[in-house]
Amino acid sequence: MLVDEKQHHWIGISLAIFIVALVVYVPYHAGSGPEGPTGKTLHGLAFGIAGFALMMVCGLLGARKAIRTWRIGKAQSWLRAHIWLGLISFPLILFHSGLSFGDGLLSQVLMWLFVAAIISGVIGVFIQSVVPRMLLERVQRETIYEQIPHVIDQLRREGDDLVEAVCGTFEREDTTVPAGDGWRAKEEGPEPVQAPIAGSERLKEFYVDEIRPLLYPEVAGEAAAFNTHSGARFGRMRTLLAIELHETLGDLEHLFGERRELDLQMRMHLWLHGWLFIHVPVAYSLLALSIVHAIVSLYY
Amino acid sequence: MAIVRTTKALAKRIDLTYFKRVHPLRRARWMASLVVTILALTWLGYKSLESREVYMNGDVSTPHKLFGVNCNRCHTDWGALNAVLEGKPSIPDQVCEECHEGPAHHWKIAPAEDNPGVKLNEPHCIECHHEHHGAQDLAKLPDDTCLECHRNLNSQRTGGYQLTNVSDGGVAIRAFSERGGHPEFAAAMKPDQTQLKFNHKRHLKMEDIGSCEQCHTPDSSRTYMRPIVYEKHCVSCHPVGITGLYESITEEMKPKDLPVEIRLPHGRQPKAIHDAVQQNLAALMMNEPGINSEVYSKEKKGRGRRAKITIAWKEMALTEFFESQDRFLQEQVVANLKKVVDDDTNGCKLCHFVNDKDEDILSWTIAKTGIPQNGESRRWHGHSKFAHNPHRMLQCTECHFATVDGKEVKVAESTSTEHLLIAGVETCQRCHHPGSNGARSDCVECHHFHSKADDRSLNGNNTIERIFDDYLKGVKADQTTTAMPEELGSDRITTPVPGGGTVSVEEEEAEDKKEEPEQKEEEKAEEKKEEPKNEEPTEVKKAEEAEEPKEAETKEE
Repeated sequence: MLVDEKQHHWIGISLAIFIVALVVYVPYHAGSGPEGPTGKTLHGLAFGIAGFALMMVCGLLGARKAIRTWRIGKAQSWLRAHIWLGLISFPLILFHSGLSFGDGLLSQVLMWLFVAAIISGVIGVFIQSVVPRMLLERVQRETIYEQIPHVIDQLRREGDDLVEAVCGTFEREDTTVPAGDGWRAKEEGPEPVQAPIAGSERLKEFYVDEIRPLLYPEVAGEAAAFNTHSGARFGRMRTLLAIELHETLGDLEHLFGERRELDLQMRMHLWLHGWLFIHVPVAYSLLALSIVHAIVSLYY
Repeated sequence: MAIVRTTKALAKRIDLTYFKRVHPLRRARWMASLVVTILALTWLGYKSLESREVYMNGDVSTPHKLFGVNCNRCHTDWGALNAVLEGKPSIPDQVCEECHEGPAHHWKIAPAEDNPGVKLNEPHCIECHHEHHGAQDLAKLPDDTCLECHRNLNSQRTGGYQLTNVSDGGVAIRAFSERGGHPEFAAAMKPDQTQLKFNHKRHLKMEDIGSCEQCHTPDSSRTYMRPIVYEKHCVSCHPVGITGLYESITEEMKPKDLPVEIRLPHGRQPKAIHDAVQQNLAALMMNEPGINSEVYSKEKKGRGRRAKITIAWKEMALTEFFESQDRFLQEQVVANLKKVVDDDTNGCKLCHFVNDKDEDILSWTIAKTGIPQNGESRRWHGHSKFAHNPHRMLQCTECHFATVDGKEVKVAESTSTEHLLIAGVETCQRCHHPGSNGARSDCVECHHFHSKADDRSLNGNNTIERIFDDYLKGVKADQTTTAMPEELGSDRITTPVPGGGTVSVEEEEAEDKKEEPEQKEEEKAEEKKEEPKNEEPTEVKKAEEAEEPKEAETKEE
């Protein structure tokens, strides 16, 4: 999500909340006495409740995204609210604690968890502003992330068909037909050739030994390694093969290029969402411990 | 054939049921969230089982660590919530008062006495004494606690009653060490009001005196100086008595063995002195031959007619005698008394202010000096705590000097009682400022919040000091030794002493006995203060004592 003009509404709301909180806090801090502002005063408690309420609203984003039929506002609006209200909850909690991390163990753990959640969230916002543009520029043939393994399987199938069309059948260990195989429309794809073309044995060997093993989802790293020399390898094969086979070789190169992009898409997806492995667990543990903190603090 | 990717072809690649399965990455994220949250709560639960210290917002002070982690010792259930909702303290004052005495703040200057119905808003204990800040002295409060009100007294907690500041209305206190931040001490702002004429310069020049310690002695705790007592400090050089009584009468009329000087009682008004002297002289006259009180009382016991006539004649004679003597005595005593009282070189007027407007001396009054008498005490700086002992490294004159018209007047140069030789705020600020070596300058160094008017110890029933005091009292009352618990392996009762070690009951009793002479000396001093009121002048006493053997001789005869 880009922090663009569409977010002005939420930026304004957050700023307004912050300014109001600041206006209330400054005289409260100045007149708080030698002990300073603490969470057990009326002001401190109010700030704590406000901050915690915003944290809870931020936590509801996960529920909103999980229940896709829960049509309460757009997911994008929820995300914007999550970002800006989450950011503003941090100063509110700081006002609650009197600009300190507290002296107790639980208080300090909570504050550090909060810092980790905020920092990971800010990093996430930055990543989510930069990486999608990179994805757009560098991955021309993007697909749904969860479908990448399936699409790679289909690419492998397509490659097999291409090679069989010119080289004849060859042995394959997997016989599964990927679902959604309807791409093989009758108007596309090569027609099987009855007899292999002369000189196609080299192509078959090249495909079976070097290309096909990389057309599996789980060999992403090896595909990336081959990627650095793929242009040279295909060029060399082009010199060795007959002209009749160049078209098929080109198709295989195109196919492999698609595989390479899917691989890049997977890596970028991990960049785009990997920070959530820190942000989400930290945030939920923060919420859980905050509830305990609130109950215990009010009890004693 | 070249691969052609149409939109339709691409769309048909997708498994339309993919959304029904959770992607492993997403599943992993949710699992991680669940696991981390459960781990966090498990950690908290584990820590809670160990101790509730995990919930404490800071360590408690050292004395309160004796409670362990027993939060309910002080905290009430939902106390914090009730505090916010009802405006009450989260820890009621009664909880603190179970162990600690906390008398109200300076009720003597509080408005209730002058303006009943208006009460100062006394802060609750926890408003000033903040726990859970680690090993701190809870009684040593930061200056801001006091300055919250004393920065501007009339704006805080006064219920609308306008209070005046310590010494000068309108002076706002900022900090003791800051120039102008603390007003001049009230006592130091005006001259000494003691109604006594005293010249330090003259006295310090004398060989017999020469130093401050000759007259100014500390009390047993070396906190304050004992008040000056005439009978102890002044009488040896300034005795007051009547001499030359009966000079104008013939030898035959004079009582025998009349003392040359009749010592007058000190601390009395002229009328009282006159009455005392007259009574003593009358008693002297009773011992004269022919007016022997013993003979007279024996004759009075007789039952015969002659005895009665004798008694009647003697009574008449005695009455006439006393009447004549009374007039004589009256004149003599008054004449000589006036000499003493009116004498400003060696009599009362040398030191005292006398109201002598009337001609009749018996209506003269000697102004009360204001010096504490009979065990009373008066402190110059009544709103602060001061002890001489911590200042023992200083010379007296380093702090005691007067400032007259901006100039410093040393004690040895002081010729007037009006010179107030008491330290002012600037004197104390020379050492009591931040950066000094050891001399604190915070408010609680010199001031109590809790009124000491009742002289109550601030240690309540459950404090360690009170428990040990009571224990030791019980031990002494029993005066028995009991076997110590086996694990200590001793059959002597011992008491821990500061700095380690123990003191047995026998050793403590020995120390108590050492302290007894000091107490006896103090008691004697107090008795001596009472002597001038109740006892006759010593010289007259001596005369009486001298007469007693003679009476015995006459009886024998």
